[in-house]
Amino acid sequence: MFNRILFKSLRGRDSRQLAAFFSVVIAASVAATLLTIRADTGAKINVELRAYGANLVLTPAAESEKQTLSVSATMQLPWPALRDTLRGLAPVLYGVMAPVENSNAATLRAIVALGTNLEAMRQVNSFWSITPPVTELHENEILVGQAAARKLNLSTGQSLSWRAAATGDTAGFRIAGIVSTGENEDDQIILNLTTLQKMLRQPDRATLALASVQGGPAVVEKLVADISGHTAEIQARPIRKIAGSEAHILRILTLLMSIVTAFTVVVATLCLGATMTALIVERQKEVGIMKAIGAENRHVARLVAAELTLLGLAGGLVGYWVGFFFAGVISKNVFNTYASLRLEILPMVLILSLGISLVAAIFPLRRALQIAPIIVLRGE
Amino acid sequence: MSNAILQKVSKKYNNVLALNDVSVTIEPNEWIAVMGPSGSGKSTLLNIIGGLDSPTAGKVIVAGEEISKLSSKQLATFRREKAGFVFQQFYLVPYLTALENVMLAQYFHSMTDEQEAVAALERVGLGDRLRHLPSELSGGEQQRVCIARALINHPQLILADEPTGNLDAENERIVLKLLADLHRDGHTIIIVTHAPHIGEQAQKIIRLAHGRLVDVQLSAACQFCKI
Repeated sequence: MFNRILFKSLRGRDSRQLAAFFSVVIAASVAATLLTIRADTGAKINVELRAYGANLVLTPAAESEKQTLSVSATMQLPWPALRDTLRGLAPVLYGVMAPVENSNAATLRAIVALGTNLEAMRQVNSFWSITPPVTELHENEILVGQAAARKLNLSTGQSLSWRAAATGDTAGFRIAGIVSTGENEDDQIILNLTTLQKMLRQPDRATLALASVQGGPAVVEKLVADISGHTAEIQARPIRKIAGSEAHILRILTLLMSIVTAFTVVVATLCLGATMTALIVERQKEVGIMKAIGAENRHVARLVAAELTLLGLAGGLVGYWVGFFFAGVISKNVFNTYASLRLEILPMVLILSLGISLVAAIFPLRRALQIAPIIVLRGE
Repeated sequence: MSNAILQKVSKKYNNVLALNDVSVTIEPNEWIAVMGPSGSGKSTLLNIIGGLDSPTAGKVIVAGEEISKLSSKQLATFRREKAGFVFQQFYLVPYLTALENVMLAQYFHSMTDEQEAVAALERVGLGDRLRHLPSELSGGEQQRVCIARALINHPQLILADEPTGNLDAENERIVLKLLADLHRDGHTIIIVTHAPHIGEQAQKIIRLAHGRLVDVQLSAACQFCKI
């Protein structure tokens, strides 16, 4: 009988119930949108920030006697455990190239050479711009930094020779492209790692290694701890300005979303409370009749609470899907990706919707319980 | 034991004295008509006996229970167990069918029994209107639903406030016949009316004026009750 009263009561008041229902849907959808975006944002911002370069640098440990890293040892670090979060790992070897006598005038000055695996470096520092596009450096190919090319009047396709200052070994190169990074590399030349190792006679060695790790500062910190526990030879340090930016942006976004959600929830609760109060006023004769034929306050409270619970759950469910839709639209426009369907958000949205409904019920319920049947039946 | 005893009962609304020092005794299975001009306190008297309203002063004992001292929760229990109400305006829940309106009283009382509710509606001649909403029923039919609802929990008292006030002559006859049947079955009937011919159906007529008890007289002719 209770269910019959409940469903017929809900069905019998379309316009007001609809207004109450939409109040819940709006609050639930805003919450679902922001929670979905919030859940996705960490990963997406992280991906976006990975384009700004490495957030982890590996160097020889301070207590290590060696000045350089073993490339093979670096590659054997516990990366497999973090395969999903590691975007790239690029070993870097630095050396100084001296001018070769009797060579052309352009090379008659010393320049810093950076040896690396270009493909891995592009994964770490995807912002490197190379003209024309080069994905791999062969043994006799180099990239010249934009500023260096200007100063030395070098251009793509030119051939020239350099001598490693440390060893005196000489090699001839062809310029495969001009690289622009906005950083120190603009004044350097970029070589294949193996080539530079040979010229410096430092096989399998690197000055440092740069890593780009997804997952935010917490993942980076965990990786640093893992590496420290794994080897005493290598020291891992987070690049704070990048890792810290991620945390900072996420904190601001979370705060902003929390404020918007809280504001929406408060407005929706007030709207729902006003609608439900109007609904109770509209229904006070019906409540009076029920009380006249023997209903106690608990019967009325149970009916009102059940109506609001159903309203909250239905509104929450619809709001979840509406929120998912809007999260998809926002993700597509801001991050150019699709929002993930996150079922773990559904219970949160339902609890929130129920909470809104029940808080909104306080005043109308008090009013309903105060209805005296005789007052209503007398038409006062 | 008397069914209802009112001792020096007064009821004041703001500054208006609706009932003034009324004392009356109603015996079990009596059919009482409460008569008097508008504003004489007829409905107030009925509501106080039925536990819908509380007196400002005096003592009200109904079915052995002093209801003037009951809390609102206890009054609700009293109403659903001891009293059945028939109102002039019917007061049916608009979104429930005739059958559901009767079952609603069962639900608040204890538990629903659809067969019993159907039997109550068949008794008032509405066996073919069970699934109709109040808006789909005539005034006479709605009043008969109201009577079925009033009798479904087998109350000792049936309290009817101008039950035929909104009905035509034919429906008035049907409703009075039903009340007479309930009286014959042992219920105490208290009916508020303006109409002398309805008052004449009762065994006893209580007359009020300006909230005071003016007269209690035995009816000259009770057509249905056969004193």
